[in-house]
Amino acid sequence: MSEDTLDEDIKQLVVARLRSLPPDREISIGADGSFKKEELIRHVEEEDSVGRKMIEIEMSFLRALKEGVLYDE
Amino acid sequence: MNKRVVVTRPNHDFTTRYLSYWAQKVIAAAERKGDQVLDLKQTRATRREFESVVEKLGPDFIFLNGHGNTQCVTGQDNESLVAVGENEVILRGTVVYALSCQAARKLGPAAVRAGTNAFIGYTGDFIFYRDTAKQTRPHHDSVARKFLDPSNQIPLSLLKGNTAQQAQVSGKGAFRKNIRKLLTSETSAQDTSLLSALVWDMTHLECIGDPASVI
Repeated sequence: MSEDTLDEDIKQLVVARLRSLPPDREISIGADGSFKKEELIRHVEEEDSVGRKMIEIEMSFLRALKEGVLYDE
Repeated sequence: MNKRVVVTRPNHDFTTRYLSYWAQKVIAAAERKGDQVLDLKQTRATRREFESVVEKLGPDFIFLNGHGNTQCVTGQDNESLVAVGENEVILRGTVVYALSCQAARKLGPAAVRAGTNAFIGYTGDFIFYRDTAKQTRPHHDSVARKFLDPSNQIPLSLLKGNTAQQAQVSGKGAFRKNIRKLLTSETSAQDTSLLSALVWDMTHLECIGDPASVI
């Protein structure tokens, strides 16, 4: 699998997770501002700095699940 | 012995409004136990006021709320309150909790090199979800509470006399408790979308300096 394909797969995975957000939720990302679901999805699709940050956050979560971080004491 | 506490609470956008609201709970807890609190809220959250108050009061604990980056934490209208290479020495002899993005990456270590006892903060952005229907009434926002109550656990733990490291562990534990609640079957699918942000905040919470520091 090429790196481009992998990146596209990851992007689509993150978009799919963001689609599960309720419409009345907004995320505050520090000085970047606050974003609604559709805005977040657009940023991820455009792969701008906010979009890349959201990808990092979601991938970090998936890694934490795999590494068992959530169950550490 | 009663402690001297300085809190900065800018309030100029939704993010700072929420942080400011939640910080009130810490102020109330400190005042209930007789600590002296200097509350720099809104237009008082300026560098001039901050430096003046810290120099006069000589606080044991400084609780910074606001936007920030690796180099600084800001106050009202994003004015830099404390910044690397400018005035981090003002934090010397204190324990600091910075509820601010990324401040534990460079500002925290610089402050500790300049004599801060311990600096607790986040090496990444502090992120949180809000319920837009509640944004004018933060106290009713159960979504934001899942993030901001764990954050409050850190200053509340310090005020109880715990060490900086115990406070950090207590904060991480409070994040983990909320994460586990969201992982249970009783949780709606919608609420599981908060998980990634909670995990992000928990894993980026760091304590720099002397872990045994107390206020």
